[in-house]
Amino acid sequence: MAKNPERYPKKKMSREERVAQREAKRAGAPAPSIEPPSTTMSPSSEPRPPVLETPAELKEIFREVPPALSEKYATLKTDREKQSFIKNTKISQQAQAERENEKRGGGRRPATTPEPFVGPPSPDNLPEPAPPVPQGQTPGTPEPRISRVFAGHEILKTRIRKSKKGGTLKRTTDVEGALRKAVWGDEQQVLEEDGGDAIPPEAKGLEEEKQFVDEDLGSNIPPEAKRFETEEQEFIDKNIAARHAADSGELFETLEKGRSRPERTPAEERSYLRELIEKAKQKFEWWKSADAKLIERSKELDAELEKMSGTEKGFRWIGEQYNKLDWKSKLALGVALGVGAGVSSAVMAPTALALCTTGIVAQRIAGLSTMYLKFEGGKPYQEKAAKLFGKEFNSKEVAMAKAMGYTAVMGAAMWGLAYGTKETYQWLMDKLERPIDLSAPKVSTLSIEDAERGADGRAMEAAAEAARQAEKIGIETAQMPPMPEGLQATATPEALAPVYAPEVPLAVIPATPGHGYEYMLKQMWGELQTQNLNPENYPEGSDIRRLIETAPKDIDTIVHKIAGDPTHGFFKLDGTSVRIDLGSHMTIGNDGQVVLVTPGNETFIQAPEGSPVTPPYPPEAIETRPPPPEVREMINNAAASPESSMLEPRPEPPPPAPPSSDVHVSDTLATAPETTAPALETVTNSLGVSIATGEPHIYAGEDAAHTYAYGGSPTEQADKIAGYLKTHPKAVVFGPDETGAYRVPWHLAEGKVIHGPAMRTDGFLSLFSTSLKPPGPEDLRSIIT
Amino acid sequence: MQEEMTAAIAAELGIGEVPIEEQQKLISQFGEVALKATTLAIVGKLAEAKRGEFVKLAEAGDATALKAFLDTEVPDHETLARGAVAEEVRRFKAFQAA
Repeated sequence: MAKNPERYPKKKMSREERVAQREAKRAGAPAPSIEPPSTTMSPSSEPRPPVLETPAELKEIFREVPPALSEKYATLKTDREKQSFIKNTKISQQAQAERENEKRGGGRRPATTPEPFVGPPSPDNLPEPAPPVPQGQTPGTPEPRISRVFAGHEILKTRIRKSKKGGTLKRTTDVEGALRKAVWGDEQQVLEEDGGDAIPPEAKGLEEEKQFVDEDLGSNIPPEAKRFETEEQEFIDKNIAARHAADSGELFETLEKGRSRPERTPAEERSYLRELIEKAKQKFEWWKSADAKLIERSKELDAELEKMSGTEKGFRWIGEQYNKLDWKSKLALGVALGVGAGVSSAVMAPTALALCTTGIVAQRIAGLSTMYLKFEGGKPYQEKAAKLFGKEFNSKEVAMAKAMGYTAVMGAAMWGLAYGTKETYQWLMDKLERPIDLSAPKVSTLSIEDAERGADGRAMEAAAEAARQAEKIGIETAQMPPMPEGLQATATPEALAPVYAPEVPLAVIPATPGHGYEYMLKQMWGELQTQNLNPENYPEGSDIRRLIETAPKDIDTIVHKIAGDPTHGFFKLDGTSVRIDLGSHMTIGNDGQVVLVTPGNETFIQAPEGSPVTPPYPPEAIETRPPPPEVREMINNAAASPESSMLEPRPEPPPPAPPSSDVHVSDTLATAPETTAPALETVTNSLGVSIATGEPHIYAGEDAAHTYAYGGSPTEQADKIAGYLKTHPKAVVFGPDETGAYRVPWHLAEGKVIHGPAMRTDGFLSLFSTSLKPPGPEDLRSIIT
Repeated sequence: MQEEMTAAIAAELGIGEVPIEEQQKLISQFGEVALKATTLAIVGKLAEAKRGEFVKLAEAGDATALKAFLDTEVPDHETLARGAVAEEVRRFKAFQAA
């Protein structure tokens, strides 16, 4: 460490010189000096507090001397004790003054640079003229020793607090270190240089002071330091609380949730944090005790089972076997026991026991779980299931019952879909059509019994055949769906292995009027996106994986590619598309390919040769037909008659309404002679909506405010509108007026169906406005009824 | 799917707020209790002479045979099992509330 050449002149004082200096100082004479006077005050030349003889003399030094202090001072015997007492009293007064200053808004001075203490007037510390400052130096304020003692207290306390944080209070070491560093580090250095053979009185005094602090930290710590310690302790408390809070993670967030963060005082904040910590601690303790409680309960049950078993081995094996199961099987077993489905759910104890024993039916239970969740999960699944099975599912309990009843047949249905075993599929579809008594308590027996009887054994044979086919074409068992429990007896051993196949999502997209294969593919994509499926679970290049991985911006391209892929062939090179009949639906096969199921339950991954197709778009080649002469005549006659807003009484049925001139007619119809029954005519508009021109329907337009009537004769349309408005009394349906020439809004008024004035176009600034024609195919977006 | 199943069971047991690892542990432990309680409820209704047969069937892991046996010997075995599970759920929840 570099020494201060001014405070520590290179030429050392000898021992005799130092003794002489001290003696002279005590006698009031100037100390013998070997160097020119220093510009700064060294610790050794600090003014020492006078040793006063009586308490009365204290008053000359201090403005206020409490009686207790005076009495204590009178008991002191040695000079050192008295000096130490005076110093500590001064420290207290200094801290008090600073505190008052802070209260007045003067701010708190840093402890490391306290205001120099001005001691009582005495010969030792009378102000002296400042010595001349040598060139190149700035006049410095001498650092009073007493202030550095105070700073030592600060450091000391900080060290003690740090020790507290660390969990161990190394008091003596810290006291020594703090005081040495802050107060008499320099003196120590002098002593070291001097060989340590003599301890200056100043250093001795400090040593005593250190011991004094050491012995009685509580009463001798300045109030300022005490206050600081209190604040520091609060800070520590908060940090500890925050750390506990961070450790408790979600739980802490949960506890915090719902509570606003009002302005709190530090005390309230501490109390609040402690409360949170306490709650978190209780929760953690509860988890541990809950686990212990369950173990205890398990042992109780073991003991009771042992008493009851009637066999030597008893039921101890249940626990042993159960503990061998993996997490998935345990989960499935829980569901089999009805946990998670409400207390009144059906319970499959035999199945659960069998699972526990062999694990072989885990697949079935896992399948059940999946179905249960899908049925229970909410509307999308319920609606799909309702479409597929023609049934509605409401409560959790019913969902579980449904799942139990359908799991087996669903598994086999998937087999039928995937491997084209039409017989199995047909049988299953027939089975699904049969009503199931949900109120029956033994719904869980349904699948087993049905599977066992299997419609005269056909299902079992079909399932076995499906398994053989799968084996023949090398499909791994892992990709197969779970088999019905009752069918497992005739399946191949591989099919019985308790493996878990990647879940094939339940996604069924029914065909809708006017929509083709690509539209259904897009709907399928949308459905798959809602199921949060992991594409990694499906074969690379499979349709399902491609659909899952496709971003919204690319979906139109991808569905077009899939439709045109030779493995599917629903979009032809000549621009035509295979027609999708109503009643068909699209689903995902077990190999991840898109499967189209026809109304006749035929399944197609690839469009069969010779399938009817729809013409390509744009419609250059579309044949258009003018309105038939009888319609034109009707329009003319109606235009001449007085306008009536009432539908009834209706005139005689006019001929069917003609199709609009700008529609696409499917090629099968375009070539048909005009004598073909109108009811068979369908047209497809530019949006791909297939419209039966010979049948009246209510259609949705571009939004909810536009509902249209179209198709069939005006009378049929009027009847359709009347029927629709009866069930939707607040609706407005746009259709043709009595003349068939104008578009009018039909609505209900006092129970009668009437229409408003003819609709007109906006025109330009209300000019050039023209009447709107009746709704045409291009206005229609989807069929309502 | 496992997450959904876990969430459903955790909700039933009232441990939805517990961290997932703890949930799995508790559900796993509860499953064992539920299975034993179910077995106990059913065995309690079985004639002593039939208990040995039940143990053999259970050990064999033949769910169909076991069910057929119970349908004959303990016709209300599903109700009993349901009640036993419900009772264990109730116990578990009561412990939480304590």
